[in-house]
Amino acid sequence: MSDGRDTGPGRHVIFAPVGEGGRVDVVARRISEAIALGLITDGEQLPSESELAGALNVSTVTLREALSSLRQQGLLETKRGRGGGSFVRAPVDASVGRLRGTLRDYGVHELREIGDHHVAIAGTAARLAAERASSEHLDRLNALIDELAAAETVGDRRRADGRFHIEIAAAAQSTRLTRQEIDLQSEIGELLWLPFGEAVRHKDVVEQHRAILAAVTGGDGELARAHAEQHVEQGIARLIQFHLQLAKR
Amino acid sequence: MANVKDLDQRSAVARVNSVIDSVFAGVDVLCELAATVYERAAAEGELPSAADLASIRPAVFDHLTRGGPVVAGTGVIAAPGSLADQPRWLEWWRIPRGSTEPRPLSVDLDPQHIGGYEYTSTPWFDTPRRTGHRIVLGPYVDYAGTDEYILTLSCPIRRNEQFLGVAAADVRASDLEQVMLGVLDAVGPESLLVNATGRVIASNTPQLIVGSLLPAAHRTGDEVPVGLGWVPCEGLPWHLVTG
Repeated sequence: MSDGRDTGPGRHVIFAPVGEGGRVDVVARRISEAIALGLITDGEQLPSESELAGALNVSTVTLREALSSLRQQGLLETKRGRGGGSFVRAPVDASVGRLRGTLRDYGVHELREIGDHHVAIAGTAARLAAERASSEHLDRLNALIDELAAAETVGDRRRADGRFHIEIAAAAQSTRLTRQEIDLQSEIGELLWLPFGEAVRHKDVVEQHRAILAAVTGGDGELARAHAEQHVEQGIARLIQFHLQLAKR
Repeated sequence: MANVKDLDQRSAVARVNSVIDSVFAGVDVLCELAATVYERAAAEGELPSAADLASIRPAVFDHLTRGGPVVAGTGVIAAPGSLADQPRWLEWWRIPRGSTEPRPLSVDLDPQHIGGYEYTSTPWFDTPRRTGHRIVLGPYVDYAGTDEYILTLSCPIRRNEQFLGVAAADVRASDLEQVMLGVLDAVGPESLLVNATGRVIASNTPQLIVGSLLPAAHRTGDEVPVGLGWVPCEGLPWHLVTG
């Protein structure tokens, strides 16, 4: 990395070796998150393919596939020839900058507080929903998961994700839990679905929602609670990670 | 003694019916008035405005303040596109808990918002639209609207074959239970009113309280479970259940 803008500890994390067998989506995600968080900026040139593959400890084939998926998302542009390479095309969406600011301004403690609160609400709501949800609720929850699975934009994903949690609380027949869930969703929903930097992988969220719903449908309150708590904790842990990357910059 | 018990059950069912009938009577009035508003506009070759719909307001207030002890909110909800000046509209008033003054229900009508009032997909709007019949729903958590635990009684507004919206009323679950407790007690020490999905609407026992579901094996009135007496509430998808 030769442009001299790559010295912050936040950036260091981006180009650290990836685990999980160095899969394409892990690499693509790592880079797209860095763009979403503003750790690499618009117009910036990425290191050469071999350099980047070396830093991430993945094969050049894997890296190329990852870069190609980022190009498809419009996050990278490749110029050929002398002075060519992969250049970052950061999304111009104004909300990204605002969300980034919000995420930076939160303290780790505040994020953890939100997480603790959300774990309490979502966990209890899931446990009670397992006792009290009618088949209509289960149908609606199922439809919301399908909606989330099919959602292409972050906005649609955030809405379907939030609605699922709100409906779980409503299925628990509790106006108070539902109100709190709505407040929590409006507090962190946008951050969890940061454009190009989704805190939790879309397909993982879908799977986690399915696991929660399966436990609710089976009437297993404790399992539903465990799944819901884990799901929420995972999202918050990622937001704390994002925050630290932004704050260290 | 069986006769006395029968009598108590019948009077409990009669009480349920009279409470619900009186709420529906008020809803029917709103339904007719709203249909007239649409009719008048159609005669001019126009759609009515939200202000035209507001002409039913005296009847809304009347229903709200004199419709019996259980009406917490009532009014008319317009089908999208049925008004000239508003894409979605509620002429809806409620009496907040602890107050006697009717207040308009203010909701976020933007369906894009989390917690926004996507009323077109709610069962109390969608079911009368699809079936053309009135419906009693709940109890349920009305999180996008009133933020309360309620039942909704809803009736389609139609002109010719066109669906124009619904007239409806909300009943707080706790208010309905309050007016039912006396008759439930007369039926027996463990008496419940349950809806079609087996959810408790009102109960006089702490063992199975409002909002809880009957155990799965006991959820349907089609097959009378052993040890439970099920009495249908005529005209309603509800049962009186006695232990």
